[in-house]
Amino acid sequence: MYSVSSKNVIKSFQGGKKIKFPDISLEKGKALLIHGPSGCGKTTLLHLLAGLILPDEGSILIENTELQKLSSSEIDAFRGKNIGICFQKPVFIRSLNVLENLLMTQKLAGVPGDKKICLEILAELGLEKVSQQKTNSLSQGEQQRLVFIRALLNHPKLILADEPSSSLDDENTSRLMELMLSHSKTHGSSLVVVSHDERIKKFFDTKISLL
Amino acid sequence: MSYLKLVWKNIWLHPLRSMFNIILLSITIALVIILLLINKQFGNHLGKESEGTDIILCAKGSPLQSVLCNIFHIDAPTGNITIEQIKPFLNPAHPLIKKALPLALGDSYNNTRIVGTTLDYFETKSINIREGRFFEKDFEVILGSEIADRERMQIGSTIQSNHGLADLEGEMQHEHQLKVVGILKKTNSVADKLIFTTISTYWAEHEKGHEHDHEEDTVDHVHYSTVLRNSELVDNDHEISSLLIQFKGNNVQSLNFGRSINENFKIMAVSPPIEISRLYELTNTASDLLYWIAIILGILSTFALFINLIQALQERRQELAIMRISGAQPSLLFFILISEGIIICILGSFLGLILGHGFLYIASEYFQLGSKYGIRADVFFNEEYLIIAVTLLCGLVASIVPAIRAYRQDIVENLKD
Repeated sequence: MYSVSSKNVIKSFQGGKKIKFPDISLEKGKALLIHGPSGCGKTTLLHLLAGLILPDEGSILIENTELQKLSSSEIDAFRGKNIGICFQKPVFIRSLNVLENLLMTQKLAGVPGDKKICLEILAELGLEKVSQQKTNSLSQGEQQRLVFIRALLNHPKLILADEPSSSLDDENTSRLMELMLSHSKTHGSSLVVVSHDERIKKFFDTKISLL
Repeated sequence: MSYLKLVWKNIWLHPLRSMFNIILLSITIALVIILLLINKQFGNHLGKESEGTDIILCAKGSPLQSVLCNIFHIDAPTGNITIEQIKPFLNPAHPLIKKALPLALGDSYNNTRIVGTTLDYFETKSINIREGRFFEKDFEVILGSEIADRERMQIGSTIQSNHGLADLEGEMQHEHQLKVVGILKKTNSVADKLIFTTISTYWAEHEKGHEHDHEEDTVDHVHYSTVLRNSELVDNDHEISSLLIQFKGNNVQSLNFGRSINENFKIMAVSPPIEISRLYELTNTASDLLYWIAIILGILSTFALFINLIQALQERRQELAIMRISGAQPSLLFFILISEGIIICILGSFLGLILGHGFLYIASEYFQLGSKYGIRADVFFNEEYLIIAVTLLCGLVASIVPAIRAYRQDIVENLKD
């Protein structure tokens, strides 16, 4: 049983550029690192896995659901329920504080807002002290952790992370990767990280290289 | 964490920007509300004051001045007319005339005008006594309610009138003491600001006064111990300021009445409705100009709101993309943007209502607009709902384009820096 599996996926871009992606098969609850240099299509692959864009050829199955066969609003609903995404740049709702951002994430996914759950998960990842602060007052490391918390919050089956360590120092990178791996495991989510960061290779058993 | 709370917090993310929008809107709304309240109430007031007066007979001069003096009591009389000149119109059996109210004007007390008239005046205008009684003989006065309250005068107080409409430090003071015998009920009309006495009191004061100036004046003056009726006035060879006439009906003869007077007599006949509509036209030009200013302000406020929301959309596009990824439907983003526009307009409307009514309240207290022009701040017209509805519509117009853009946004495109 795979959480993510893809076969013969090809995506073409404006200007005729075409990328053929290696096949992926990731078992449930496991972690995968997709690494490669900048511009090799890592972020495109992440967008494909998230259903934000669709492949021109090939098929992608997430939790046994073939994304191409869904309508765009069905994909939105599926994504909201099953996939948590950490983008490279931490973006939050600026008018809301840390806790409110998490409560809004629950509400948007159709999950009843539960302050207790939010505070628990903040405490789990060491952010309980900043729960009432505005997101832009957090440090880079805290912001990346909050992005991960937001992705993890609604217990998605799959977490996708795009260059989570790009703006962090070595210490914060190690700390974040350990947290991501252990918590996605305890929350039962599969984890796919795309990155060019050599420092995080050592945390993953399963790796795919893009060239 | 409701969506409306999010909308509210988004509005106050840039407090200066939102306050600017709200204040601009509220100034526009306040201006429109002030214009509405003034125009409507002033129009009603003009009509109300002249109700029951079809023609004013007075000395030849400016017709508008005559209306301002005899109806609104804010200008000087055009001159005097003799009883002889108007004798036929004082006849109770006149076929066209229902009521004729003689007025003697020109004296004052502490800048308050003293009006000499008959008891018919109060009956015709349905003015009743609050305290005391109507005057019964010469040198008795009754006070309008506002004057009684302002001057803190009671029944039994005495006053000394001045010749002329301004208080001239006793130089032209009349000799007789006038005794307050009654205070009128509040009417919200000019009567609240007047002092009333008998016509013959005026005569008595002025014949006395004239003795100094004209020694040849040998008229023996009689002090009346009753209030003269029209039929009794005709026996006197004296002067009054004007005669307010109400016709029995609006037949052709009464329509020709004024013209025939003006052509054949040495007195002037003035139609208050004609003069008032002229006056209204004058003030309308000013208020039309202000309405145009309000419309331009309204367009500006809508445009400023539009710019604010477009800017907010631009700044928040990544945020909105994240919301979409977290499960928000495009329609939710549309709702959030529209709500931001509408809520700013609701706040602007609310503040505008308070500003408009508040400003008018202060102005009406300070300039006594209530009794002078019938303008009050504590009334609410149905048109104000319309003003608020138009404001909300402007909010909708300003926010529809940003909201549609939010609805249509491409997630991947908006995630990019």
